[in-house]
Amino acid sequence: MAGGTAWAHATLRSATPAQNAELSAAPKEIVLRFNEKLEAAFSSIKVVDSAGKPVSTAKATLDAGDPSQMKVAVPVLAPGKYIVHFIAVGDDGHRRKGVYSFAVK
Amino acid sequence: MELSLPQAAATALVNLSLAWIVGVLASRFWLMRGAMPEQKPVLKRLSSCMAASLLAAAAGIALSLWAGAVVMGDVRWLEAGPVLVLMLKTTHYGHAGLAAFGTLVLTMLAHRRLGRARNGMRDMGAIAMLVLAFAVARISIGHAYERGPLSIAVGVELLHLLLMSLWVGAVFVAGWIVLPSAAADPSFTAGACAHYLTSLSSWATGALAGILLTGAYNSCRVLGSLQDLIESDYGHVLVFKLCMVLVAIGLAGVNRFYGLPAQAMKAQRDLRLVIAILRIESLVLLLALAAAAVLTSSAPPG
Repeated sequence: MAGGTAWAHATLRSATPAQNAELSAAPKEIVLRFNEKLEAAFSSIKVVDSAGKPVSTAKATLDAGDPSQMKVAVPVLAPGKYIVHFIAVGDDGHRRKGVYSFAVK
Repeated sequence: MELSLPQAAATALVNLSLAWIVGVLASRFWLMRGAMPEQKPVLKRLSSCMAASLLAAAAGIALSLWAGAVVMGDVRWLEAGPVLVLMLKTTHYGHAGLAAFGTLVLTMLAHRRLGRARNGMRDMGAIAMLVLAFAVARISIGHAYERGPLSIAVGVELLHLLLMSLWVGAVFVAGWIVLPSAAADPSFTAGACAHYLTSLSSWATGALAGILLTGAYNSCRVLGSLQDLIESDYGHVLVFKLCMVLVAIGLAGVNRFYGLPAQAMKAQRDLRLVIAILRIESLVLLLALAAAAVLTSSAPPG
């Protein structure tokens, strides 16, 4: 996972589902919370399964009320491991990539 | 430490140009206040220097926007055109860059007017306000802006940038333009020269006090602990910058307590020692500016 707790540059604060979570129910969406406002045009989320195949083509959007939250809807996920790749571009023009995984039981 | 070298180079160019712009403005102000508005050759040189600095700043902003598009879009250097357009339209970074570029164009127009008009002081005031607006745009793409546009962090960062520009610019302009002109130009009276040096010395001392205070505040804000200073790359660059500033302060002290009295005692235009020290100081400050640009372009620890 990129970052840690640094506040400068867009850094992932928390995620739903959380990193390494093992869920009994498949999530409907992936929500990532960052430490600063993101730029919608340059930030993205891609979810792939354990074979590396994208689970959907939906584009990530920023939360209307809180532009430091980015989310993407996902179809019903079959049991297995999933990897979330994200790109976060903040106000200061810097770009940060990150990756984490979760599993559906 | 994540760092885009072109972004750091662009920031360095912008900061250096801003220092020259502020230094020229201050020097012009001291000269005009100092009983010699007729000092044509040196004012002409300052005017060309201002035009060149404004162009360099505009080039720096253009480079920072292009480099920003390359980083944001994760594209090749020459393929950033479409990303640049999207960035200028939709992002804060793009808007701030456009605002900075716009204020520079206005400053260029005001500067042309200053070359023709009689009321120099008023036009200089207008240019100073435009330069302030440019500095605000420049600060709004920095780390402090994350604390909010009207936060204390932004105000302190802005003050730090302006005071640093004043100090560095005053040293550059005095050492490379005004004092060499004074040494070569017989119509530049000893009294006018002394007046200029006194203004330079007292303004620089005031700026320095502000730089140390705002710098200390910024460091406390950015660094979580002293540990960060020793263990992170960011901390190492910050320590290097601080060392350069301390060396420059030492050189300024030598000039203030040795160079200037020696020049005054001889009561003649023997400015060689003062100029030599100012030039060494300007090279040291150049390194400090480069370090500052690396810090702006990389992520602080904490």
